[in-house]
Amino acid sequence: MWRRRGHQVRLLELETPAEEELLVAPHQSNARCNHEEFEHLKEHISNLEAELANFRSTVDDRFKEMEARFVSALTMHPHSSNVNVEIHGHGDREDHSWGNSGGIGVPEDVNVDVADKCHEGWETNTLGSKLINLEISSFITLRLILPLTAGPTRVVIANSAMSWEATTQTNIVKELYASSSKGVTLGRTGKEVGDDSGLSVYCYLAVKYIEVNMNWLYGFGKVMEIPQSDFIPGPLINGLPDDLALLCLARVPRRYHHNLKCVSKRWKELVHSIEWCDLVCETLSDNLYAVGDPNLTFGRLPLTFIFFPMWRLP
Amino acid sequence: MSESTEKKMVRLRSSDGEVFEVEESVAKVAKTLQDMLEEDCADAVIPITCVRAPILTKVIDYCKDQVMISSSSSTTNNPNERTEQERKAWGQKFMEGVDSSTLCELLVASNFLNIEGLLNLGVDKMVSMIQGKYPQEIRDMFNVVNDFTPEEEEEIRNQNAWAFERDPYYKKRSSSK
Repeated sequence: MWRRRGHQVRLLELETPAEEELLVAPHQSNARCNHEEFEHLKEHISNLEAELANFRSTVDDRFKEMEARFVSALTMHPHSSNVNVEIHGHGDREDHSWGNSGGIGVPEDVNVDVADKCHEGWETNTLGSKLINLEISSFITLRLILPLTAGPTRVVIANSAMSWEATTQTNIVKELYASSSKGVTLGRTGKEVGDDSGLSVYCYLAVKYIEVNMNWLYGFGKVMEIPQSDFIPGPLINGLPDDLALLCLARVPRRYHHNLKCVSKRWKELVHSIEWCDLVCETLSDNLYAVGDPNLTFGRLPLTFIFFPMWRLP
Repeated sequence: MSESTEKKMVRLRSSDGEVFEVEESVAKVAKTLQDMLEEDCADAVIPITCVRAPILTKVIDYCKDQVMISSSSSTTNNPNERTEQERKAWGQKFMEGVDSSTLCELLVASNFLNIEGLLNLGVDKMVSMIQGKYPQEIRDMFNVVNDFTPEEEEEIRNQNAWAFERDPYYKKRSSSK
């Protein structure tokens, strides 16, 4: 049985005098992580990873099965290349309720909880097709979602506590970097700036991947962009400034976006970009509606609610 | 009222040196020119450096039409007032026969002169030109270089291909195989 309390690992028991500074001025390079802390964290991380590998091997089969179902459901979803996923980690909540996942046959000991308070977010965002808000309490959810987002994915880990979620975080980061070719963005909402647990996650992530992006540690709280692999500069449309070209392209109905993608690498990058996502949502007023079997559920969330927004066919 | 009888003229010079003389009211449709005129910094010829003469002619045509509508809509029942449908039809007619390079210039000009209506017309035209086209047609139209290898292109095309079954383009491709 996997219970979160079983994985209670305090990773960050450091004194962080710089914390206030950091929170006050997140964009200034005040963030410091001294060598000792660094080594300390590294040690913990390697411990965690061992633990994780152990844990993973035991439950991997179940995940795979579940994942397969989800992926098959989602690949049917034409929008999947432009989904932004926003993932909020739980804080340490004593009354944390584990959703007993029915519906799609999640094993009892692999609990996925999509917290109630996210429902509102779901409603507005999913139907507005802009952002999917997920409160993630285990990396299972993330594993389910990431393969589905062929385009750039914005993952925001907010308000996450280090304790029981240490394994989760390791995994999240792993998954994120595994899919960094997709242009995954890591960010922080900034709403819970005062929350030290969120801070610890960030320290942790920063330390773990310090070799990847040193700036992240220093530019604390900023959104880190993982550079796209082959970005091709040059005008979108010859003889037209890019802002005007964007104005035009964003008004092209969604069902033709696939054609735009095939035009050139630059256009493909564009259609896969987060900016495009935002722009199109602003510009187009296509009617979206959901289809699917209303009896399917994922955790306590009906599946129809999650992954089947489609636009009206012509 | 007295202003309209005077009909103050404004002179505009296009990038290739041609000078157009238009009424002030016509020039004022363009927000950029309106600002210039209101601040009295345009007594001689106004140079419009990024717009060629044929494009400027088109822009002025549009502005004249706008003036005609707005001047007549102030009186209660007038023959020139248009319904939504008529306006659409007029816009289509106005943009008829405009090719992609002219359209680009027109967009740049209307953006520079800050004429929202014309910009919208241009964008709509652009959208109607793009939508429903095959990627190759789009490339030809805008001189975009295809930097995909054939395999890459095939791959992208096959992503989510099921979703486009209704699209004649995909039907055609799959039936030709």
